[in-house]
Amino acid sequence: MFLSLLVLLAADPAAITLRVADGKVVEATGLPESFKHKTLDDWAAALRVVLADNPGTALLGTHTLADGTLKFEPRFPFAPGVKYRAILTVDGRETTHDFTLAKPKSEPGRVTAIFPSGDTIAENTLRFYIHFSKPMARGDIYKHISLRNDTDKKLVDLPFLELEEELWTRDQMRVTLLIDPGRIKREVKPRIDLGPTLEEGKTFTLAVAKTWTDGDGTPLAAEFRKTFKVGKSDREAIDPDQWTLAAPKAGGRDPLKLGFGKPLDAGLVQRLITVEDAAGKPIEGTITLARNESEWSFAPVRAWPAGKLALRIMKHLEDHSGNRVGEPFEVDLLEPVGKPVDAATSVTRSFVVK
Amino acid sequence: MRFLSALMLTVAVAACAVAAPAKKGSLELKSVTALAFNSEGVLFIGDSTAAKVYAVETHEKTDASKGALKVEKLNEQIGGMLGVPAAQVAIADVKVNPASGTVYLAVRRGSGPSAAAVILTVARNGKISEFGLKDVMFSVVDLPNATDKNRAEAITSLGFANGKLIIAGLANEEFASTLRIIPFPFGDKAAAAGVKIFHGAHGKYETQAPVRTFTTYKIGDAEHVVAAYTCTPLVKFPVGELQSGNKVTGTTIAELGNRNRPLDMIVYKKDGKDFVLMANSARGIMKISGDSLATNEGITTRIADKAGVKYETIEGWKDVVQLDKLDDTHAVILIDDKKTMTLTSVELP
Repeated sequence: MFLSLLVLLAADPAAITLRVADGKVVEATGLPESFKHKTLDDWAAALRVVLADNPGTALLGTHTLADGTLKFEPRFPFAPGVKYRAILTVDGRETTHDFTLAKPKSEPGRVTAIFPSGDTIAENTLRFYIHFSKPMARGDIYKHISLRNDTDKKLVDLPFLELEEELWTRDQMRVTLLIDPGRIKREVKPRIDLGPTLEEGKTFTLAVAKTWTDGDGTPLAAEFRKTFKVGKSDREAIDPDQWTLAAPKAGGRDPLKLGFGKPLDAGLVQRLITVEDAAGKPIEGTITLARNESEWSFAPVRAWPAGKLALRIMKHLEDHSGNRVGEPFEVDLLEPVGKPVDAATSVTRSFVVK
Repeated sequence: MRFLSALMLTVAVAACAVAAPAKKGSLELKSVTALAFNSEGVLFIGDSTAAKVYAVETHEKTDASKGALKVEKLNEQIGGMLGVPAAQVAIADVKVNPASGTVYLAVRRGSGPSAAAVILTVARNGKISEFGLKDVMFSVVDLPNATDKNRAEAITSLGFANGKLIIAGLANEEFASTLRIIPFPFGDKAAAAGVKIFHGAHGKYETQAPVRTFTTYKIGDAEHVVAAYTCTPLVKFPVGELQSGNKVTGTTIAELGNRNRPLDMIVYKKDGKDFVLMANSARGIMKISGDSLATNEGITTRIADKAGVKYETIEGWKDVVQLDKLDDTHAVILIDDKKTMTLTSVELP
């Protein structure tokens, strides 16, 4: 009597199916009736999903049983291109199902720009921006980037500050590289021992290797190189009073033009200079940079009003060497500038639109 | 006066972060780059992408975990749990909950902009579990520029001392330092003071340099921050003086020299003496005597190699990328030899 009942309850191996629904949920059907009365732990033990090449560890996820179907939803979505294995164990009998979600076809990315954009950059350049055509992979980026001293025909050893956090934009289409500041600041040990990373009068090439992959694992279409000459160090604070300013005519939408006299940081200059109307309200418009980030023009959305307008410049605006408004990157303590401590976070420069 | 050793700290911005009191709810992390605990087991989570720091009650019991710990192939195990190859697993931080002894990991799954962030716990028997963020008591601090398209700030280190959370960050645009101090519990109108750190340790020049990693350490009765800078000096300054309107003088205590990327630091007591342990990309683990931290007057001249405080290099600890104090006599370290990761407890040297 007992024996025949067991046979009746045992699973029919032919009836058991394992499949992946919509690439999201693993479903097991054809289970014996007894499954209904089992616990969550039993279900989790019966249906495991693993990486095919790492079967010892089960994926985190949620098991549910409804209408005779045991479902497993992973804690994180199945990743395209990864080989998974679903393993169902019923009455000591194992059924497996291997599956891999297709990787979406994607065009390889490319480097679209590197800033500073000039052919000659300052010896104490602190920061580079690399722009990509699509979101890239983060983690271990420094192995894809090299800096070569072309004049002396040698690669620069550890040119960049290697930060495991990596300085990306949220969309991972732009990454910031910092030249090791210990090689820029005067009188710190790395510079005393090794000298500056970039050397005035020499030519360098910054290379981004093709091996860098995008967020989906596709390598870049091609290597990218930027060759530049190294000029004098720039240790001067930014002084907005020295900028050239070409005021537009009232009633039109011609751009307001500024000449900085030197290149400023390509990222900061886009958001730390604003134009305000007579009431101090920001005027909407579009910023365009020219001449290697040394010229800035602002085209308003609506026609210019006549009257006294103002530029508001945040004091943490920097040039490529980290010099700020009213404050150089390195303050010389022996030659105090004599300025009183100024708590203001911005300065203004007014101009008249006629 | 030929060479100045002082650091000048001036409080710059009165309010640059906004906080709200604790409430019950669910958190969705966009990223996790740094963790910290206070002594009551509140977990602080630095989410750089969201520009927020969360404070989550763990409700873990005292001494839930005891004994040695060793987990080999940690990245493979985590990859197996999260459903990705080991190469797609990154561990940004390792911290021990002082209320329970449980080890917490800040983990990134994937490498694209939609990579997931998850907090995992490791028990002493090696069992790895997810620390769920559903229906938890939490409060949050917003950091500035959370919505700017391009500007982002990597939270590089979190610490807790004197009832205050200390946040070190590095922006992807401006270089000037941002160290933020905020009292905890985060009040209704709590605001973090942003502190500008001028760095005058090198002689005649000073700059506003970002802090790479730091720890807090009591010298006498005063809590101090011991911080490593991106340009390699190790400095100390008192936490109590990091208040709005104060001008604080700190001291450079060591120069680490070229190729030295400071990675992580802890402070511990052994045989009645205090020590600082620092994981470092070039020199392995450095052990620095607390006595010399307390008495060192700072570097006042150009310095020879290994100038400043005396330290020894701990042999046998290779490829340590993270460390935290596990108990009074042990540390937990994360070893990453670029092939595999191992999480293990070790006796404090």
